[in-house]
Amino acid sequence: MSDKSKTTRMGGGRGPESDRRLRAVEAVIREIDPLLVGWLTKKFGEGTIARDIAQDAYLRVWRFAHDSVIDDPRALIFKAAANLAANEFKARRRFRATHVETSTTAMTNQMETVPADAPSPERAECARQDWEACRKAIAELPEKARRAFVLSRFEELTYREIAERLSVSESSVEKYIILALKSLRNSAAAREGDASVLLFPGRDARSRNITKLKVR
Amino acid sequence: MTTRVDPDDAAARWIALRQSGEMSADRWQEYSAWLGQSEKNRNAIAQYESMLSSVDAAGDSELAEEFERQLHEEFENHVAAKQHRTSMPWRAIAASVALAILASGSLYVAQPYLQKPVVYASHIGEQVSVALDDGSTATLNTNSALAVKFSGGKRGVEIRKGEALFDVARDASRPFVVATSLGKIQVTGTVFNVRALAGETVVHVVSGHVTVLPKDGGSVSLTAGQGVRLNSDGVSMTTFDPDEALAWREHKARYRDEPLGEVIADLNRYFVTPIVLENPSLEALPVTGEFDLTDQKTAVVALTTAFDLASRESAEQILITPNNSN
Repeated sequence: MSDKSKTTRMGGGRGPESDRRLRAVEAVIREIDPLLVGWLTKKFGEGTIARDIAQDAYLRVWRFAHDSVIDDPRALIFKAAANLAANEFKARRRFRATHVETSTTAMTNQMETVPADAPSPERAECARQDWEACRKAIAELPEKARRAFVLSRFEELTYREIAERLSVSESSVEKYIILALKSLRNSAAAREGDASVLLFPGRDARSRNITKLKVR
Repeated sequence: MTTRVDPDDAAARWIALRQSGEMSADRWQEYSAWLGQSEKNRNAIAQYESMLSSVDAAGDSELAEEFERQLHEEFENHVAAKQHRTSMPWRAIAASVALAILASGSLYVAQPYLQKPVVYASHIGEQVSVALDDGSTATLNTNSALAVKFSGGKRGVEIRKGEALFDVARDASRPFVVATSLGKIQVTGTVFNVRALAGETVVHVVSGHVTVLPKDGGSVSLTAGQGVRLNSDGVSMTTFDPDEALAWREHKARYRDEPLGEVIADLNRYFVTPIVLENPSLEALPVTGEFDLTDQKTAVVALTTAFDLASRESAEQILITPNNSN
């Protein structure tokens, strides 16, 4: 980036109200820029992408402020930056090597995974409903279990890093993640209406009893 | 023999472990063996994987929400840390930095998320302000790089190159230490500027109190208005005019009777195309004036006008020559 000034050169808006909003946004940007750039730098380990994302977020919010009232510019900037950061994060991790994962997925995968081409309208609708249902299931998880799961699965942190973030022990982290996995699996199974899967917990109980009988 | 573990419990544990990135080669073998043991095991894994492939589609949104939450927390902490800076004892500062603090009552300070240092850097001609975890602020001047690593006992910053102004939050239990190749600067809470260029480190204290530890030994105490220069000649005290030393914060450079050679070396830090003097004899010409550090062309015009010189611009450099040469 060759732009030498710290903020983009701002012009005028559409009338005095718009101008006032723009100035307010600029003031917030000045206030939070060190913090936002600092957080982004830590997240990505380097500063160039951090500044790019910050500038991109400011530009979006600033443009939005031209014509729309913004209750909380800081919150909107954080939201925009968080979205951009999440996209970039996933893009960077997309090509991580996976180990033996392919063997089990190949064996028993009944659900479609990521479609290679554009899906048909029916598939797209199904995928959208599925996506919403997943979001809902995740939102319904208990707080710490949800955060531990998201930090592990999507931010790809180690148990130790998650333990620090959540102020819990590493063994708690594992418990939270397992709790989340089971809960999400049960939600998914209920959606599927798959009889054999719904029976699975029951089968568990029965097999446990059988085990006890045999051992005793 | 071994107790029979419920396939579902075991599967959940394996999935969690695979996800954590902490599977060693031995564990992978153990996992493969467990998979081979029974169809129930394989089915259990398959159910989790099919659920996860759906959930992964929601990953971007979930991660975005998590990041948003982290930013808000970061902001709350920074505000709290700033408010408590000069008046509260360190325990209160630590407490207000919330989040990762364990409420055990023992001496514990928030650890950085990563164990390796965080590097902040600025491009040529750019200024970057960064908020540090303890409420301090570091402002980087042109073409500078800092590596920051805070721990329980020390707030460490290494200037890898360039110049930065530090506004340090007070924390008597954790000294803030800035290291350059020529020495260290140690403070508990203050405002000071450090310039670390090739062969020389210069420290200017704006407010508060600073201890400088040159690499070859000894220590120098500085208060507001005082400065020190570390180079191959040794350690020398300086005074400074804040208007000149910190003009960079306003994107300006001010010089008073400064040799042209040094002025040009300084200006060149801010621009990609270097200015070069054709004749070494020009280096001693004294420069007094103010320059806009975002505008190289005007600076060149000012210098050539003041000393009746000429300039010739090419792709690699701007050459300054005596007038009527060629």
